[in-house]
Amino acid sequence: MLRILLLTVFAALTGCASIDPPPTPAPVETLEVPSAPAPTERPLVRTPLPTVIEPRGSAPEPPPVVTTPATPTSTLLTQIDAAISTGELDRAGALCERALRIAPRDAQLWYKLASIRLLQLRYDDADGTARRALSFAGADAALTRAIKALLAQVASARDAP
Amino acid sequence: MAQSKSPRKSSTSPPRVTKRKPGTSKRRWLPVLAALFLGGLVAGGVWFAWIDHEIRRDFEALQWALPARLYARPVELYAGAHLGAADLVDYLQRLGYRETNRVSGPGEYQANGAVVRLQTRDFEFWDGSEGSVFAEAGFSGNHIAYLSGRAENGDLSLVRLEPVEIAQINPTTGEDRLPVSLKDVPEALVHAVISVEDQRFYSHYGVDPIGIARALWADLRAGAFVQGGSTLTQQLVKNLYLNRDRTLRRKIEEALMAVALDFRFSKDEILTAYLNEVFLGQQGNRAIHGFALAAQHYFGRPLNELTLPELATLAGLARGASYYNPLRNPERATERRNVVLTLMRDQDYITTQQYDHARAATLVTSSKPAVSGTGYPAFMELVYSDLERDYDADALRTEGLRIFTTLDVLMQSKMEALLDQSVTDVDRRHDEDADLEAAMVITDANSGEVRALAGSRKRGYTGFNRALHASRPIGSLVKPAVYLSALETPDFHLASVLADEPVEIRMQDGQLWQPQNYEETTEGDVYLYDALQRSLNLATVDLGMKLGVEKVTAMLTRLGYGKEVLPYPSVLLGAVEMAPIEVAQLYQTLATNGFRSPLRAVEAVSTAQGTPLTWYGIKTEQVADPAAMFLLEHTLQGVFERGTARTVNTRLQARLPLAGKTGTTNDLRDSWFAGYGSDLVGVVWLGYDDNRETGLTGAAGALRVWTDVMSALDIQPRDSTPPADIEWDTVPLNAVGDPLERNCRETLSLPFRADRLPDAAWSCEDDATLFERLIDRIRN
Repeated sequence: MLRILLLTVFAALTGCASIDPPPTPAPVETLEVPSAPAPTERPLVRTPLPTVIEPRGSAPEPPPVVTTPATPTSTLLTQIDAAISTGELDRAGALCERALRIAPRDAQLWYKLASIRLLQLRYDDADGTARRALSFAGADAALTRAIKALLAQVASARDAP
Repeated sequence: MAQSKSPRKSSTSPPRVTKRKPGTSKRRWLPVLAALFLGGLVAGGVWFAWIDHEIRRDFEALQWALPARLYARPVELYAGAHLGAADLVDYLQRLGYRETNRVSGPGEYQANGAVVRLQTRDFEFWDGSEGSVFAEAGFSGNHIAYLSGRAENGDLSLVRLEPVEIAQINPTTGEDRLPVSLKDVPEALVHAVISVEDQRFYSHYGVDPIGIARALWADLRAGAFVQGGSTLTQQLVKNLYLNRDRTLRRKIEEALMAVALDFRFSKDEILTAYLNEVFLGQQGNRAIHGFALAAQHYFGRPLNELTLPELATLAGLARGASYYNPLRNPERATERRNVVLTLMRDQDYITTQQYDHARAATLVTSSKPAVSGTGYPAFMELVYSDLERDYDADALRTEGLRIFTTLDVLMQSKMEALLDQSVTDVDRRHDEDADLEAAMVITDANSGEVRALAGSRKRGYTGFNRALHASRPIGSLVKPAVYLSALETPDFHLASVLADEPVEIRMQDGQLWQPQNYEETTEGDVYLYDALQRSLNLATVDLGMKLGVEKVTAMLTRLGYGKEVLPYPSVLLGAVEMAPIEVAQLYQTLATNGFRSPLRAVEAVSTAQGTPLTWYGIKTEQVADPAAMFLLEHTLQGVFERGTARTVNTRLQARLPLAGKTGTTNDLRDSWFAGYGSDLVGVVWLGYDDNRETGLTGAAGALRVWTDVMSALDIQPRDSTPPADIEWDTVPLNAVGDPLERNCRETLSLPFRADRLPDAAWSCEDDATLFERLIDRIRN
């Protein structure tokens, strides 16, 4: 009984005590890609928007496809895929590394490089680059699954007689 | 009376005079002469046949020993690239680009404040060719704001400029050349060479008697040596096959060989060989052969970008490369150029208007840094050590290989420009008999590529390469390996309490080791993170001995140290010797959050024709636990904020967070700092070659030099994302040994592994925690 009384008193005191509010956790730093300021001069090339003309009485045309300007990594990815398709795996790997110098935290690029290494049967390199991709994949569940599947393939290939 | 043998003659008849038939004496010599002539003809014929055979065999197999050419890393232009307008202009000037008011062709640029327009040159990289393209880059501070091109190039998102050539590995002959085919030689140069050296090149048969006579007449009229009598063919033969003796036999041999060459090979083949073979200058022990290399050497630009007066200047060099050297004797070179232009006009290769215009041009030679075999010697030594694994010395010197390195020339130049003065600024001893020396290594934080290297505080130093070979105790630089080893175990976290108390350890040899803190004080109970940030020796020894020294030596190996480390307790405080490049390897692994990528200085090697031979790609292996790495990095960031590097906190404010560690060895003999951002890793060592005391801690010396250089390079802040299994918790600000004595009035928040949060008794997280603590207390 005394114990319960003491606990009640202490609980009441605790409620009155000045306790620091729980601090907000340290902010997780997020990557911010600085947006490029507006150019001071007009660029010489602009990507034009297509004109859509609706014929009278017909069903509306689908919304126009807006071509997204190429980025340096998308430009290189196109070349990488082309090199892979022609079997130039060394060149594909070199282009992938060139893209990684531009975007070193791009999980997709690391994954692409791991895939190339796997095609080249370079299992140690495939494993290392795949784990590097995993370290950058963050909340991208689909990419994470794909990377883990690749790691499983590497492990399986290594174990194969 | 003696009888004569001849018939008696009548004494009364007149004496008969015997007359010889005309030519009788000559007829006697004729057979001799004829025999001699025939003999000479036969001998000459045999000699000529032998020469013909030799010439045919040798000329067909003509292969110059070509030096290997080494290139720096190319600059790439794209929106968002970390590059300023001034840096781009600097780079273009290193490539020999000409500044113009309007860009009209390859190798030209126009700089207008924050906008730079340029036309790149074609270049064959190891991973494909880059064609010439026009680009306009707009800048905002140290970044490219936008990149655009001409409509015919389509959407321009990425432009790769050709790389700067930084060095050659020359053949033992010392000859260097850039072989070109005739179709790549400007027609004006061919005309200039022919007009001044061999006007009848296309009509004679290797030797030109008329040319010899004309040359003699021209020399007599001018009263000076203005024309030679040797044909281009003779000059080529002399350079390729003969010595410099001025003997009749040699001249005859030269003439015969020229005739044989002309008989066997086409004029174009002979001309091409001449244009690539002719000696046109000397740079140290490097002999400049051929017009293509001469164009680079004297004018800093490719042959196809030279103007008429520049081509005429080169054509005039063949008769005296040293005498008419435009770099040293511009007046003489200009006079000789004008002679060539005059001959070109007189022979109708150029109009009078072209002649007037060219003659009026001022001779402007290259001001770009000369490329020599010893450019960036400290970095080159690293390159050679990478290459010699795969290529023998002969291949490197003779096959014209193209070697693409990882060097960033702009970064290297900025580092060199600052290093010497920065070391002077921190030097406290100012010893007159010895210089405080330095070494610095800068790498790409993500790939392990070496971007810049200094083996001495002096730019271009070719002596002892301290960056690669000065193995010195690393002191407190070892501590991240100790703490990382601890954080990987379930027994330690950032709020683990360590004892910064005096300790005595009996070594294997029986001696007693009594380490001390730098200021010979003790701190008592300290948190693990605090002990690392303030580099407390006693707490580190406490931690290391609990952990086991073997774990620490194993961690050094995992981080990339390649030599054996014996597990003596003194290793915990850095009694292990490393060169700066080896320290850079350790911190490279930390910068990539626990992925070890071997440092490299070579990207790829291709043949002279551009066929790829070897590609040294990224190798990466995960060697440390990601959560432990995050915790370590959080702590190393604190080194700048409140630890031993806080003295530069204000200066680096805009660049924080950065991560790093100071290092000081016994008696202040070595001053170290290793630090990294999201893009670069830098390691600095200061010390004396004779190991005397520097009077500098890591913070007072190497840190300041590191800050000077890395600030100038605009090092970027760290931006690591915590792994999913990291949680934050609150602990008392001050560490205490007994949880009951903890004071939660002042707290701090630290990251922890979710499965290794601090014990509830220690946490100041919330009321419930305190309540639970009280319950525990009452129950007990």
